[in-house]
Amino acid sequence: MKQIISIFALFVLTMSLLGVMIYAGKDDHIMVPPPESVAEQFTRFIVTQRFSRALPLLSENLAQNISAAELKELAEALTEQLGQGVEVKSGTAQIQGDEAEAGVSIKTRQQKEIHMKFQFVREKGLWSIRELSNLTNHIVNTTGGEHEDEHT
Amino acid sequence: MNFMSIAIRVVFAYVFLLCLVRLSGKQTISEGTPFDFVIALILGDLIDDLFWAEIPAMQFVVAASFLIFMHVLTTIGAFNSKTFAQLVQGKPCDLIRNGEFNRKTQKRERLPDKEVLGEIRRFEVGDLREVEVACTEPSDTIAVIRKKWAQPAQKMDLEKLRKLRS
Repeated sequence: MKQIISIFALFVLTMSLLGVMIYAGKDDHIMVPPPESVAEQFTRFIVTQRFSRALPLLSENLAQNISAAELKELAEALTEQLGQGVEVKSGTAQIQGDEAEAGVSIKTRQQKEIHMKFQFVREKGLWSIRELSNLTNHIVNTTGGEHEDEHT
Repeated sequence: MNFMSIAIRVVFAYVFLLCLVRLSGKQTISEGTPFDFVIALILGDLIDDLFWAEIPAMQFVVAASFLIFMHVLTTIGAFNSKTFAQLVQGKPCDLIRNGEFNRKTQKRERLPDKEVLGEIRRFEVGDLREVEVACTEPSDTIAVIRKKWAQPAQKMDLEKLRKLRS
């Protein structure tokens, strides 16, 4: 019984400490995944077609307007036009208060390198993707035959 | 990647897991049951996600705490109930009794003669006839008890010898 109480006490103490760090101390990259890490994870989930795992990384607002099936359609369109991604790397992030921007690069099987940027918002202490316009822009721009972020 | 953030996360995870493992008792890391080994593996995998900031620290704390909490509940249950202990940890099974293999246990544990003989040689037993009992323990090790005549001489045996001589 003493053991269980001790573990519970440690749990409560650590959670309180983290709560103070994240909410009162406004920690935005030590005890929570920084925007570049979230962007990398999201892109990796999209590339590996684990859409249900990508959804929780979206902001509440965005998640209400997009389903896993729609995310799948988006990813398929991206793959069709830019090629299958084989490597995902995170770029740098810029944080301004409760908003941030982070980049990722995807290397495709055809050795193309695509750079993407995601806009973030801090929700409940965590960084969430605010909009997917950059992802959709890639599809639209590539269809038009021009793409400034794409390097071969 | 911010190196200072990684260092802070590593220190946090180390201290937290150290406290958690100490509170859970000594079984988790030392030679425990195969299940203890699985717990240690899961904790090892969880810690990696926190180091590289793939999950928030709170998720790590919740997952690790509840894993250890369940583990402690299981060990407490096993300590208090023999039936529950047999269910979660297994029970010792004879592999050799009175110098003869127990084929039924061997088959169930998938231990060929060669492997059993190799294990008992670690106890410096070269002849099967010396073995009274060799059994598998819940910690997945093999224990060997020699027959009385095959046991190494003890200090008290010297006293007996002296008495016999006098």
